[in-house]
Amino acid sequence: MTRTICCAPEDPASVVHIDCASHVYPDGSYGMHAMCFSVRRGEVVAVCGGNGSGKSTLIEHLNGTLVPAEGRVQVHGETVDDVHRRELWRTVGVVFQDADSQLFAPTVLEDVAFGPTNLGLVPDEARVAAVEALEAVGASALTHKIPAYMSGGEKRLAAIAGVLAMKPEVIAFDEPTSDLDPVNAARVEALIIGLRGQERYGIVLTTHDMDFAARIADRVTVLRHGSVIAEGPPREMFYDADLLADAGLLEPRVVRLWRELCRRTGRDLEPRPITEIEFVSALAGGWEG
Amino acid sequence: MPAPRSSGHIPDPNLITLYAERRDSVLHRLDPRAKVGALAWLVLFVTLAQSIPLLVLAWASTVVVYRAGRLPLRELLRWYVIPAIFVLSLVVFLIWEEHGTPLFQVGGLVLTTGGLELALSLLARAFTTVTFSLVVLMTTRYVHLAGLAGAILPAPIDQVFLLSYRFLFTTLELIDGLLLAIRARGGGLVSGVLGRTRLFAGVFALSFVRAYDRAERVGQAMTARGYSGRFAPSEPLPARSAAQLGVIALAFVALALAVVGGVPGFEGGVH
Repeated sequence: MTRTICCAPEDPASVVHIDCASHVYPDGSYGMHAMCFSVRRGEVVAVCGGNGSGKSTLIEHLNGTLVPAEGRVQVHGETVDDVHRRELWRTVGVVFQDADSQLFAPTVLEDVAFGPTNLGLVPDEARVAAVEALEAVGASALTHKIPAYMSGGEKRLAAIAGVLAMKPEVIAFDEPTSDLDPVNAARVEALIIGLRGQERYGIVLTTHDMDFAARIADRVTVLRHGSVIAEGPPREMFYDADLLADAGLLEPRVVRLWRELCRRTGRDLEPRPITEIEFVSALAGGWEG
Repeated sequence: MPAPRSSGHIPDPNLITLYAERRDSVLHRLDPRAKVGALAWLVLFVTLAQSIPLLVLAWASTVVVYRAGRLPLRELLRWYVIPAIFVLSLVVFLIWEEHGTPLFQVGGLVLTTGGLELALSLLARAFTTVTFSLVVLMTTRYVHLAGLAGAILPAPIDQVFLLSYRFLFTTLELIDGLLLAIRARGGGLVSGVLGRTRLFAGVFALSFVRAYDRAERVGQAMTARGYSGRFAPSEPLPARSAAQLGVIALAFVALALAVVGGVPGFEGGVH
């Protein structure tokens, strides 16, 4: 099954809209091909796809770090021209996959204050914004630490604070839980859920961890070879085995368990669970009945 | 607080950062302008001073100052390896056939007391400068160095200076990782360089390419947070200390008078 979704009608409530954009690498290969993508405030969009599917390229276009060779980027319905592209970072903050690449300043406080300073805040205001952002991610203890001596989990929290301090409308996380131990991954996940609860941010996250995406996303966009091949509610996407196989992804563990349970018992229930909690609830509440 | 361990870098930039950002001493509280001024004065001093006892005294004084900053002596001795190698690699060609009493002969080349004095004076100059540079770097916060660079150097040279300083960290980090990977598989730096020179030359060249690549990503992440070629320090420089800057100014004047007046130790031009 091959489905390529392109040029879907623009969502008027979207903060950022990528309109049929393509990106070509110097070797001529497409990093992104006829991509359409939107994000609105208060929602979490999980962008899923295998390695090389264009997830990171998409993130870099949202932030204006990359410019589409074809198509356009729109912010609040306005097309972003080359001048305004340089200001996209004010709207879309990016938490990069490799926190070491993001944390460049000698201390966490100075690194987190870097964005607010670029926003034009005077040093005192920038430091207040940095302290508040560190508090918001539960990392006040890291304020005066030196990134080189911090753990991967601590670095990730500091990197998130560095973006949060700029108060963007959209926060894009590139593989936010990769390389983290389960405790730190759960911490980052709880943090993203907390941000969603505030309903002031649109959140885009790329991942190939389907369990994580199932727990956190309001909407799932599936990429393959730089194009969107499906988009919709997580439950719909994650029970589409052909789609996931096509994208080089595995079904979430809960989905596999549920399928096995259904196969062995010959029964099924709606709605089908996609998270551990839903799975347990289904077993506890509906299955016996 | 226990003394932090160095990761083994020569020098270890993260340790330098740690001392600059997290420690406190009399030197940490000095006006950064005065420290940079003192470094400039010291470089001039060791360039102009000709007497070996004076140069050794300058070196010893900087070590005392280094300790006054509560900085780690053992690390300093390890960090002397690089300047020592640098100086000795030059000295080995310069010390022969100098004026003075012959000490011994190697082939047709004679080593004299003058040659030995030259070696000692160059080493003392290098160690003095390195020690005080470390004092400045290890007692001055990066944000203040950035502020000073912005105040002294024109754009974009100040940015090049600041980013080069951080690029050094990236490069050393990658080389450190590389050495770790070599040791983990039974290799060694010295044995590897001696035994498989071409391979190691390629490996180190690659590490610089990787450092460049990494620096690109750092730059990209900075741009994503609004960097547009102007690093605005998140903290202003501390208030100017007229007294400290006055002392430095007087020191420059004294040095000028010493040189012009031919004070012992400063006469006879530069070696």
